[in-house]
Amino acid sequence: MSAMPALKQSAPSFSIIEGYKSIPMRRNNPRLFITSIAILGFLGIGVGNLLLNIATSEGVYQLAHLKAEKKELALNSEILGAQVQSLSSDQNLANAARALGMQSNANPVFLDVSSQQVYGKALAAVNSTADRISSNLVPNSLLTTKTTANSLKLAQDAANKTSATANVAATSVATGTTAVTPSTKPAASANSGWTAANSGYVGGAKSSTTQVVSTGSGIPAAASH
Amino acid sequence: MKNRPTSVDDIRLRRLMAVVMVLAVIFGLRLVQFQIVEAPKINAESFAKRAVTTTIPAMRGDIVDVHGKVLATTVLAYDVNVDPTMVAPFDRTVAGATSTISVQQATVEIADILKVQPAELAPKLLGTSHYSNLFKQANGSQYRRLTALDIPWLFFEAVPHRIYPNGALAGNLLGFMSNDGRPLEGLELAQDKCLAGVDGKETYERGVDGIKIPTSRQIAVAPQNGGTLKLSIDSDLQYYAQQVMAHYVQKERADWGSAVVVEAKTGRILTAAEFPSVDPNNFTATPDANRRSRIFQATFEPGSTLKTVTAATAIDQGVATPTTQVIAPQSTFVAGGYRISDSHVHTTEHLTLQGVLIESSNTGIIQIGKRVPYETRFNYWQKFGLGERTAVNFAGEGSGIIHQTTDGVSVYTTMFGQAMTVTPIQTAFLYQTIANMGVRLSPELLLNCKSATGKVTPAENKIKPVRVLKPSTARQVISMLENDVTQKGGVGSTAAIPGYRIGGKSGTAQIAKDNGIGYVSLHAISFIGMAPAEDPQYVLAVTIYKPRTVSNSIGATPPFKDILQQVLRTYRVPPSTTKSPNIPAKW
Repeated sequence: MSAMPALKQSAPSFSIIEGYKSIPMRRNNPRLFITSIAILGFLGIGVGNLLLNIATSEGVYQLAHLKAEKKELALNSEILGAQVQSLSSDQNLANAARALGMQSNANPVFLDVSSQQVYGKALAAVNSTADRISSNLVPNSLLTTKTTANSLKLAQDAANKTSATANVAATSVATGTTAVTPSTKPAASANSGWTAANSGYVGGAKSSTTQVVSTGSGIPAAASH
Repeated sequence: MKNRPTSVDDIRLRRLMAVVMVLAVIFGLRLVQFQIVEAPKINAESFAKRAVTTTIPAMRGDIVDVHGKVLATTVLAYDVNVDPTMVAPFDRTVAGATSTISVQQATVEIADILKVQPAELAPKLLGTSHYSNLFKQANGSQYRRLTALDIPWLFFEAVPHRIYPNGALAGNLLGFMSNDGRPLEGLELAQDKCLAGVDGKETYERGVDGIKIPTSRQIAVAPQNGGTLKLSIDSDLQYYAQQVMAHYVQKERADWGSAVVVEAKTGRILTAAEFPSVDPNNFTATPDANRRSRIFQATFEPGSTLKTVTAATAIDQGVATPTTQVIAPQSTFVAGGYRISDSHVHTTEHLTLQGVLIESSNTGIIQIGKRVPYETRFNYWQKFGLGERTAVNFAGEGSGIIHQTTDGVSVYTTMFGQAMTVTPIQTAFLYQTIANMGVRLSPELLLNCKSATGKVTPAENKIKPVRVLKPSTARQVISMLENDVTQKGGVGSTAAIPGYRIGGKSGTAQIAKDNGIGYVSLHAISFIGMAPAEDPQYVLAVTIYKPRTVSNSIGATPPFKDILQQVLRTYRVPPSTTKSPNIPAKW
């Protein structure tokens, strides 16, 4: 077979060599079409998978970040919860009542409203001849958070403020300030729900106690309880 | 066409192919070995290198009082550790300014937060190991402040930590835990099944940066938190009673004192106050002998408070009434030549059974008691719950001792509460039986256990109510107890609360020597009573052990009165509208 007859052929202008045969390229070659689709599909899946992996990886980092934030918030909740429990302990309430000048009267008087009768002999607590227990006799080594007369007054003032105070409190708590009520220094600066004072460091100096004074409406320290 | 090689090249090609085939087979076999035969082992090794397993600690359940107030709870505490090999000065940036923090300065900062001396911490920072514990169980505030220091060689480990927000309030009942989380005493120990959780664990594969590999294999077993144990204790009343007992026990220089308040018609123990009482937050500060609950564990001879039982038995058996007349001398001889005397000096008196109780006459009560055979009295004691632990089954609870058979003199001495022992909780339920019209109820200290999933189960086995006395007997005994308080002459009159009908009986019990022969000079004084007597709702049993400033039960009525007043105030019991019956004491 000579080359001349082949040159006379007008179409197709391209051919694929397969073995010793040439296959004419047709516009609607189904095998080529399927192969192309498959390759494109695989490529698409590969790229999609890659993108998904990247997205997932980012999600994992975001998840880790959120978990850390959750942990931080849980810590806030725990610190505040411990304070509330300490403040609402019987020892603290008794101390707070005494700080307000309240005394348990060992000579109570009962009134029977229906018969308008008075039972018992009315005696002021301070004049009572009976034994008066004037101090806390039930130990509580966990009682680090105390309500003082001054902080009670501040609590009552704070309770009268608008709910904006409560919002400030929530924000302050979320930023993660330490909350410890000082028993010796009832923070005269405390005029909002939670007030941070002396937080952080000054030029790497010795750390000063980070104090947040609990005087807001969030803590049940009011004497009316 | 021939298959035989025709040239040297063909031969070489075939040999090469053979070698390749052999290698392929070898590699194939090796592949099978790795991929199939040893695959699980290799996978496990590989996984172990990348995987991290962390224990997720289960939180122990709370103990709450009858109103849900938390008495014991678990929080996370933080063990503070360092890697001594990494301890070195470091840079800290505050507000844009960077400064170098020396180890010494960092130590001072840590010590300040942990409230310890820097000198205590310094030695722990030295060494060649990678681990050194600086401080155990720092609280959340301390943890936050420590992390804010940003010290690169400081590490933290969160561990569950048991706290008791109310300190020694009901401490003797609650018990306490060791630092490593083991229950040691009280309800913590006895109710561990309810309170303890099951730790979970999490295993995952992590990358170089410590972050979990997203598509990696993960194993997670969720922790099961412990259940919430609800007690019948009313913590406010418990606090008040503990305050009162602490005051009087110290004032009377006694060894210890207890006060039990029981709801007469349910058997619920509203208060089980003791002094001394352990603060479970810091139990090592309390001497070992004072760390447990004497209300359930201490046994002693009850003394005269048992005369009420002797009188009730005689009335129930139909051999006596409150007005039965006896002649009570100062002392009298009984079988075996033993002499039985009254504690106070008096001339021979003509007393009714009522008068015997008011005067707390030993010589009088034996004349009533001997009308009932000892065996019958023993059966009554059993029905009253003596000689066996209560259904509360408190950790280390005492049963007390009653003897089925006895020698000559004990037949008589048991009539006024000697030669037998009881626990404070048993004495309270002697009077609960009377207050509840003769029916003894199961003491109820634990109301229920609520699991983390919300399932509520009864926390203890209750016994069925036991009919001990006829209702008419109980009513007569209550009236006698009322007269013990309303009539002058006895200790009981000092327990009166204006406006209320109160019934009660005093006891000044001798305390046997350790060797069991004879008695020591100090006493166990008690006063047990109920209010309001027209329809008893509450029973209060006060015991003070070995007071040194008073020698008889006159020392037990002031705390009794004080606590009972608080009970009436707390539960808003209206004043009585009827008067106590008057039963003659003498004839």
